[in-house]
Amino acid sequence: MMQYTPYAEDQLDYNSQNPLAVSEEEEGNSSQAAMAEEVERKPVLEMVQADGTDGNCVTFVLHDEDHTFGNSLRYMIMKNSEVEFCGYSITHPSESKINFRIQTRGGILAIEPFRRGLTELVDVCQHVLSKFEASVKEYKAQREAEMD
Amino acid sequence: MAVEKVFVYNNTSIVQDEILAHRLGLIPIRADPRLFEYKNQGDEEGTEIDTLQFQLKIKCSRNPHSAKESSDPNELYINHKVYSKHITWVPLGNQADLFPDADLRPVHDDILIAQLRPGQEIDVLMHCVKGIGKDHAKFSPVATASYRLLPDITLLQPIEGEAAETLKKCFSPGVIEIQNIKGKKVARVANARMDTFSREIFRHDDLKNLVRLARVRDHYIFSVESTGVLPPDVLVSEAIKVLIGKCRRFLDELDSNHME
Repeated sequence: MMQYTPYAEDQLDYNSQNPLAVSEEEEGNSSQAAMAEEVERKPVLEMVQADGTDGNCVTFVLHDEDHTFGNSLRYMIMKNSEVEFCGYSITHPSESKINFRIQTRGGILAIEPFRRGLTELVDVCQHVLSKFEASVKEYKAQREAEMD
Repeated sequence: MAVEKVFVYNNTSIVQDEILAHRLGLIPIRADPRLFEYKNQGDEEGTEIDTLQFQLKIKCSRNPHSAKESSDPNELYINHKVYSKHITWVPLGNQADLFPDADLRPVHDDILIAQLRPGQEIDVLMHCVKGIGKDHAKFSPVATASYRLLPDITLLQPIEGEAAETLKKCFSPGVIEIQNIKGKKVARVANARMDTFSREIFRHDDLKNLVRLARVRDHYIFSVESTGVLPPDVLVSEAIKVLIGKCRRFLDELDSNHME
């Protein structure tokens, strides 16, 4: 079996070149220790903030995701009127991560619409799932009745 | 589930080992992947919770009862065509008890794997594991999946007589229906859903301005075909659950980051 740890080396480079890659809570020196920890277990989510901006413009780096998730989440977050800008890009076709940018109108931190978008996407999925399963059940029952 | 590893004990057929292994990998296996775990990376030996074992052992021989003058290989040789039906399941651990009546075998019996001549044989052992389509398409239980929007056809004016017949021919069968009202043929949209958007109507200058073709922007028609491993309605449910799982993964990550 092929054994590969995708983009592990890449990840190291990314972290060392991006001192800006800090998570909201732990800015500054403490982030170095957190980074070392991050490298060991595969990172899922990172937050990148440019210099001189506060928490209302954040780029989230979502690892191991593509248009499937990126586009649906962007759609959900765009529905939020607090959000000024929301977009995503796939960094490179051979890297499995997306840069997900959220810019709010200033009042709130970018992480809030991000979290809300995720929860709303779960709600939408659950609604579709329950409706779908109910309809399939109904259809099957109807077809069985026709057979008899 | 799909064949991931092939142990070739003997292969004297003209199909090379690696080609044979690739062909075996693409055969859909009728086993519910939800009952199995993903195999851990670096784990060489499979266990009963993540691996299914299959065997393909077949040898071609001459048919002693064939007619002398025959030149038909089907009559001359026995086992000269190796089909997926020749693959047999070899239970690992307690699998025989776990799946007492489960028919673990390829979805189709008539997939031609190789052709043999007398004396040639194939003896391989296969390990099937669970995987995802992103890694290799052989793991995907979906054959085709597509969606389209519901067509919306409106007749802007009543269309009667010969024109109604022409209109009917412009669309897929069943879309336009012709009614007889007071001895007159009148066209009516019977079932817009049947339409394929052929746009044939736009070749008729006299008709094209009388019809409006549109799509219902919030009515999606998904079409999902399965390879036969799982029923298509299960595939849709599972796909939605995967998307929920992706959201949960990031929500959990957000929560754990805030805890630190």
